[in-house]
Amino acid sequence: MKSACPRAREIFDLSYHKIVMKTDQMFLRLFIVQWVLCVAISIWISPLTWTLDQAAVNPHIYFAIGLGGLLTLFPAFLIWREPGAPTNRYAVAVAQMLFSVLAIHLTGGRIETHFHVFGSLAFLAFYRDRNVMLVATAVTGLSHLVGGTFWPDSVYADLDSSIAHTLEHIGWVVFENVFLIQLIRDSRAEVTATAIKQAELEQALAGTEIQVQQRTADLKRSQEQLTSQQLAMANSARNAALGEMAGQAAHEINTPLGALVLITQSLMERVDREPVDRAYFHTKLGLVMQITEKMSKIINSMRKLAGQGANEVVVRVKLRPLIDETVLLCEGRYKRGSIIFNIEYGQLDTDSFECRANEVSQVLINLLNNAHDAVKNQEDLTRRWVKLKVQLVGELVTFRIEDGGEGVAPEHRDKLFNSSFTTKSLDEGTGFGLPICKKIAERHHGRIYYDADSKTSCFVLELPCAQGDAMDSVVKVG
Amino acid sequence: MSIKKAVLFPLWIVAVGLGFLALNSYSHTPGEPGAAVGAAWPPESKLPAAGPGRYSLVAFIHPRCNCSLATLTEIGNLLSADGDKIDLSLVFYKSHSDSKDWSADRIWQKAQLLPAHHTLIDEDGKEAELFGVLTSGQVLLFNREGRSVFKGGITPSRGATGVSLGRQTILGYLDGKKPWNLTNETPAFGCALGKL
Repeated sequence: MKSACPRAREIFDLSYHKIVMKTDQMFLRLFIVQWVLCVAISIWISPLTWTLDQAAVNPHIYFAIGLGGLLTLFPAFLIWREPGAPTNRYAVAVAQMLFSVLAIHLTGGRIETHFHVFGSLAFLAFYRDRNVMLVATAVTGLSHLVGGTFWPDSVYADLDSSIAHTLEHIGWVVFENVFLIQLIRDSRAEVTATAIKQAELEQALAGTEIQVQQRTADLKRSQEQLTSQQLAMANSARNAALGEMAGQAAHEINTPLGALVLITQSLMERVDREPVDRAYFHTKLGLVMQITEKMSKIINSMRKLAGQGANEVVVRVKLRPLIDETVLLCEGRYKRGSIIFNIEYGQLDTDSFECRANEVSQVLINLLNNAHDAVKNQEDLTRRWVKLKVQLVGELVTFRIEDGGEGVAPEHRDKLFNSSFTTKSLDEGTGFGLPICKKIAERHHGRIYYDADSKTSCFVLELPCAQGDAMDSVVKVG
Repeated sequence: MSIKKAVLFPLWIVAVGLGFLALNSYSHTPGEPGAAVGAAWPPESKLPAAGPGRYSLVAFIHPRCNCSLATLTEIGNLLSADGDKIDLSLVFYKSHSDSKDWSADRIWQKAQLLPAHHTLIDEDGKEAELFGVLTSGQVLLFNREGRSVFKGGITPSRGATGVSLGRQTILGYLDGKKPWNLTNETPAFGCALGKL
């Protein structure tokens, strides 16, 4: 094969080697069959020779065994030692054509046995090697020339055979070879074309592979960027919630602070004006104590929410305190907006809830704020209400946040959890709140959805009590 | 090609060549010729002598010699060519201890297909001895005067049919124009009918 492409050459060699190996194996079997047949023919024609009434094995049988064995075993040995080697097929060619000579001799030069020569050439063409055919032709020609000259009866069953007879036989062999060699040439051309095509295909595939690798790397980079952006969005949403909470907290703290100032002023004036009334002072200072405790709780909740970043770990918490602390940050806002806020706890027979506590708080705050925004402008005061129902169903904690608002319009429901989608005004909504909530729910192996079947406007957050694969990092919090 | 193969390959060719040489040598090794040609018809023979003005062709056959099948084929060819000039006798060797029935054997069957001939069972090869024959497939041609003019095989080699020197010689005699380059004696290829 002549090809500029080394890979095509390699593929061709590989294919050709397979063909040669297969043909070697075919001839191994053929040799054994021919060997057996030669012995069988010898036995059938004349098993014994006689001297008067004394019989002996006909030496032809020994010749069939010996010569047949020589012709079979040497090529078989070569094939066994080095399968597919070029020497093998030349040895096979010589042996196969000499098998023809042996068969012709054993059948007394029968013309019909000469067809074995033509069959052998056809079999040898399986090697698709022109040189094999030339070797076979040379062996046949030489054996006919020698046999035809010295033992013509053994070759042609005719003592009167001439050189012309031999040339005629050789001529027919050459005639067959013309076609077989053309066939070999065509076959090699086909194998070559296939090898070149395969090499080209491999080259194309390799190019595609590199492209795929590049694109995979690009995709990975994009995903990393996206993750980073989502993280930034989450932080942004969290910061927004925090900002809102901070504003509310400031308001929450400012009011009791004013009360504290008034109580303190009243007590100072009373101390200057009249003798100390211990009972009065006790009552007022108790009030101061209550106010400062509440302020302390608000500050603690804010501190907790602000204290964890994106790498928050799963912790095991008690459910009710988590909800109470979260609600504490919102309830002032509801009071100021004259919105009735209720919490309904269903049967919570577990105090072990595995979650990223601040993330869950963030989701609840987000949903409670949305509910607040949905009802705050209701002119009908009976519709200014928000309800949080918490219940445990099996291993699932369900938070239902219902409100007296109009609900989400059907055309918006499919897009509720898409990034940048908001029904609020630009200064009120970012469009990141619900998508972040969804991500947090999924991260907890739970889900968040708008309950379209509910009679009231209702968002549902479902979270499993246990976090399974995240258990290794669970931290128990009293 | 490795050095080992370079040595083994020619050795193998030589071995195979020697094998074929031995095979051809065996196939072309004739049996013992026996007595020389030119003897008169033995008077002790049980075989009927030829009719007046006719040639006698006597063929000696070992009933189990497969090579002699070719001899019978060639006798058939002779009869086809000049059968009207000869009286044919087939002499089958039989040992006194041989009790086997030959009637189903290929050679006997083939012999029976030949036209008008005389068959003699030769007990312990006594007739062969009288005619000086030692090899199955040997054929003797006696002329009109009762003298042997040809003795030998009429096949080209062991078990082979086809044109042979023996057949050509006999046909030459029968036609009364024996070619100068033919011989009176040819090798016969077959089993032994006696020992020297």
